[in-house]
Order: sequence, then C-alpha cells, then structure tokens
Amino acid sequence: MPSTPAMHRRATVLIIVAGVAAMLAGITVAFLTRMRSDADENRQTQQEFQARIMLSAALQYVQETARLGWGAEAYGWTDRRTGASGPRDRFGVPLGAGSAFPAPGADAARCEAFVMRRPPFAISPRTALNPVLLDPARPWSEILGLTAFDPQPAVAREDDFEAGDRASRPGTSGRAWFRCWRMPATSPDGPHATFIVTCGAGATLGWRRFADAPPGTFPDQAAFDALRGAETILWYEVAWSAAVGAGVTNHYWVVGEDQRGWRLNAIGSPRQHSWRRPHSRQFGGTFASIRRLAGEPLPPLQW
Amino acid sequence: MHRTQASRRRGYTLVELLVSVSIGLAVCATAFAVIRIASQSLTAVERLSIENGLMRAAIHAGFDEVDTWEALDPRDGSGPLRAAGQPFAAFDWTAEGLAHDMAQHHPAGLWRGCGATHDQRKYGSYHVVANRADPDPDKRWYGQLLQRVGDSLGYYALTDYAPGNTIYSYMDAYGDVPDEFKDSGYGADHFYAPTRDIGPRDIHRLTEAGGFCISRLFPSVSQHHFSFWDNWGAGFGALVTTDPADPRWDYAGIHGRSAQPLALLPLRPSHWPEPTVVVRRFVANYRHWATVTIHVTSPLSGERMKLFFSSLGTTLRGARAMRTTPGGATLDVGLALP
Repeated sequence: MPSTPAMHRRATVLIIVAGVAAMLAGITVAFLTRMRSDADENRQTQQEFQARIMLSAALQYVQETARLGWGAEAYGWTDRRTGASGPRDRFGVPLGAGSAFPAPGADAARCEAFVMRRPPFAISPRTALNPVLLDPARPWSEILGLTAFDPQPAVAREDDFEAGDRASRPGTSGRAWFRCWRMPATSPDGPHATFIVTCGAGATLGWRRFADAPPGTFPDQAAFDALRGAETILWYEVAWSAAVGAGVTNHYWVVGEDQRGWRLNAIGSPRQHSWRRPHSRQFGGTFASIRRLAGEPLPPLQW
Repeated sequence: MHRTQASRRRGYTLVELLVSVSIGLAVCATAFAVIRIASQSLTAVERLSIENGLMRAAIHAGFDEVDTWEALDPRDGSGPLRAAGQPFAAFDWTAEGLAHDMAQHHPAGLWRGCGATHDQRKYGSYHVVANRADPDPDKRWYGQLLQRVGDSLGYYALTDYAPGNTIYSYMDAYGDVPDEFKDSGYGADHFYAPTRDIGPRDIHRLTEAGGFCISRLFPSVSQHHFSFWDNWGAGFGALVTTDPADPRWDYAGIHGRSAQPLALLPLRPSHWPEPTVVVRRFVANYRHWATVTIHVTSPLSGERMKLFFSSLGTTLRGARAMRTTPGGATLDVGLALP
C-alpha cells in the first residue's frame, strides 16, 4: 500500500521515540550492569572483612580453649607447669582426649558464627529497675528503695537462664565460620601449641567437604561447590603461648607516695594504683606467631 | 477523481508547518535533554563506581600488605631491612645460645630481678642469680635475649619475639642494668622512655605512652628508638631528642616514620581519582598495631575520602618465616614454635 505524507510524519516521530527509548534502555542496562558488578565487588570486600573477624574469633577460641571447656580447668596447650602437651587438669591428667579437637592431628573444630536468639546467662537490657520515687515526703529508705535486683536475668527460670536459646536469629546464619586444627607435635618436646585456623565468609557453615556434612545440610554436591566457590577463605598458622604480661612495677607503687619510694609490700594495699592492678590482663595466653598461608594447606596438613 | 488528485498534490499550510516544526523541535529537544541527562548520570555513576572500585582495591591491598609485609620487605631480599640490625636480618638463635622454644615452663624464661627498681642494691644483688655473663646458659638466656635480639633486629622485633610476660630489664656481670634498658636519656639506643618512673617494665608499662615502629623510610634511625605516642601536656610531647636527623620522636614522629606507602596505581589514567594506601606497624599502648590509611582524591572535584582501620594479620615472626635468605636459608635458624 503506498504511503502518504501523513504516514511519513508519523513514522518519523515513531523512529525518534523508538531511538530515544532504545538509548535510554541501553543506558539503563549499562547502569544496572555496573551496579551489579559493584554489588559483587562489594560483597567480596565485605567477605574479606568478615573473614578477618573470623580470624579474631578463632584466636580467641584458641585462647579460651587453652584453659576452659574440657570438664576441668586446664593449664594451656603447652602446659605452663611442665611443658607437656595440654590441656591437662590440675593433677596433670590429659583432658579432651579422643579423635576430635583438641587432640593433635585429630579432626578440626568447626565453629559457625551467628547471633543466638538469647545466649546462655543473658542479662536483661532493662534499666532503671529501681526508679527514684518522685514524692519528696517519703523517707529515703523508700525513695532509694532498691527493692529489685539490678541487673536481672533475661528470663526468670534459672534453667532457661543457664541454657539460653541457641537458635540463630533470622538473617545471621550462613555468613561466616572458622575451623581450628591442631597440628601434631613433631617431637615429644613440641610444638604442642600450633594450629591451622581457617577463616571463612560464606554459607558452607564451615564444612570442609560436602561428604563431611550431615545428610540434608546441603541439597547436593553441586550446590555445596557453588557455595564454596562464592566464599572468601583465609588460612593462617598460629602459635599459642602461655605468656601473658602484667604491670610489674605497679606491684610496688602506692598512690600518693614518691615513685622512687617503691614499697616491696605494696600488693594488697587499698592505695595501690587503681588502673594498674598488678594482676594479669587476661588468662588465655598470647600468640607468639601468626602467619598467613599462601593457600589451602597441603596434606598431611588439614584445615 | 479529479478532486482527489488535486488534494493529493496539496502542500502544507503555514500553520501546519509551524505546528509540525514546533512539535518536532519539542520532541527533539526533549529527546536531547533526556539523553544528555541520562548520559551525565551514567558518567557520574561511572565516576563514583571507579572511586568505589579504587577504595575497594585499596582495602584489599591494605589487607594483603598486613599479611605479607611485601612492601616493607620484598621477598627477593632486595629491601634495606635485610641489613644487619634491621628487622629482616637473618638471626642464628643457636649460635646466640637462645635456641629453645620460649615456653613458659622453661626455667630460662623466668625473670630474676627486683620489680621495684633497676638500680637500688638495697633490695638485693639480683645479678648473683642472673646476669648476661653467667656461665649457666639458662641464667644468661634472659639478658642475652634482650640484648642480642634488640641489637640484631631492632626494638619492634624484640617485643614481637619476646614472650608476652617479658620484663624488659637485665643485669650485666657487674650488677648494672645497661643504659639502653633503663630511662637514662634521649635519642637512639634507648629502649625506655626518659621519665622519673624507673622500675623495670613489661610490655604494658613500657608502651603505655609510647612505643616502637618498623620503618623502611628511615631504617638507619628508626629500629632502635623509643617514640612517644601520647602527648601528656608539656611532658612527653615537648621532649626534644638528640637525633640530628629529626629531633622529634613524638606522636608525629612515630606516625611519619612507620608509614609504608603502597604503589596501588602508578599508571592510572589522569582523570581517575588518586588513591593512596599507607600501612603502619608499631607497638604502642600495650599491643602491636597494623593500621591501614586510605585516601582517594578526585582530580575533577577535589573531593577527598579517607578510610582508616586496623587489622589482625601476620606478625613479624610469621613474616620472617615466609622468607628466606638469597641462599635459601630461613631467616630464623634454630628457633622452634612454642
């Protein structure tokens, strides 16, 4: 059908509008692509930070388990009294023996990081449990009543208070984890206190292989591999030490006296410096060495 | 039929032409404006995206340096910190008589001295039971560790290698504490801060208001020098040292010396923002620090972004374990992990 001038004009407008729309669509696609790319890169950066937080968590785990968690108080990975391989109780009896952590060379400890709904022994965030009465005619004993304990447990029942609610809060699981593997001693004299800690940011919950996880944890091997491929994982070799510092000179300093007039019997004095108490700052030990590993440790090392 | 043919040949009226031209211009102007705004928006997005990308790259570069120490000491051993007295010099622990694992049960690691004072004999002659020249290797180990590691690798390295409960003081064969390990002056080769507080110190008391850094930019003067971290009024902040190269060893001094810049984008396009990444390592305020400071400056707007964070990562001992001498030997000979 032959075209008319009016049809030509309409087609011209249509072409212009279509062209503009196409250009806008192209710009929009470019914008969305760039945003998607940025989001992916941001996720990697966020995972890097999360993995580093897991390094801090893993080191604290090593420090705490040097002394706690095995049924009795222990004296360090390398027993600070004898140099034997720990953990051991006060009588020198080994603790935590078996095929899993903390036995040297045994399976690694797997720790998934998430926020509990209510941790064990949680304290209520309520404040002003003993509000001041606003009636000045009342006696002080009532104005400053102190009738309620402050602070108070988050739940009333004692068994609930001790147990807590260890389920994860929504949106906090599947983000980060760490594993801790204790290296076997190369000789009876040590080292006893060297670990490979693996710090992960991702959704594999710290399982090293698909086959290690209980059935149903992941849909299939491919899903696990996809999750593993999207993770950021850092490996470190860390060496624990029992040695912990304390403010030694302040064993001898009594506030108000000339600093050159140190007393040898100042310990226990009520005038000893308040923020320089001579006890140790902590009891979990320190780290003699931390070394980032270039990649996944090769057998026989595990992670 | 005749009428139809005539109407087909009929042209535009002036009004039609004006209206159509006006509509056409409006459509074109609108389209141009839309495309221009969209294009400008995309350019702005691109620029912001590049800035964000550079910030991310700088973060990863900072983390990488915290773990590898590569900028401070290249793996090929070409850096200045491999020289004697520097923190990446090779050190033979066996030859120095220091080769045991520093576990706390070991009797050599027990400090023997008076915690109240360095130099008042009225509290006892502690050098009788421990001094650096003692014939018993376990009794001289402590002084040997402080003196030789401090001398050979620098003060930062000494605080890195020494066990966490170390008291940084020892006596020589005559019962004297060397000047280096008590507060007797200013300038290089003084481990302690010059104050009236004269007791032996652990890492907590030692670094309460100052500390030590590792420096590649000033290796000749930085590895054996106490620096002041806090400015306590006219006290520490006003101190003047005897170092002729740079007399100030206060907060600004330790901050400047410990700065290790990273070359993130030496060949960047000129219109890209300029990123700078600086990693600092020092021991101060009771702990070892590795900090990353990032600046991204836009050459177009002059806008400047800054990000600062500190991070856990590889320690000096761990970094030395990553490296070998040009001959392939480990930097630490004869030293086992605890």
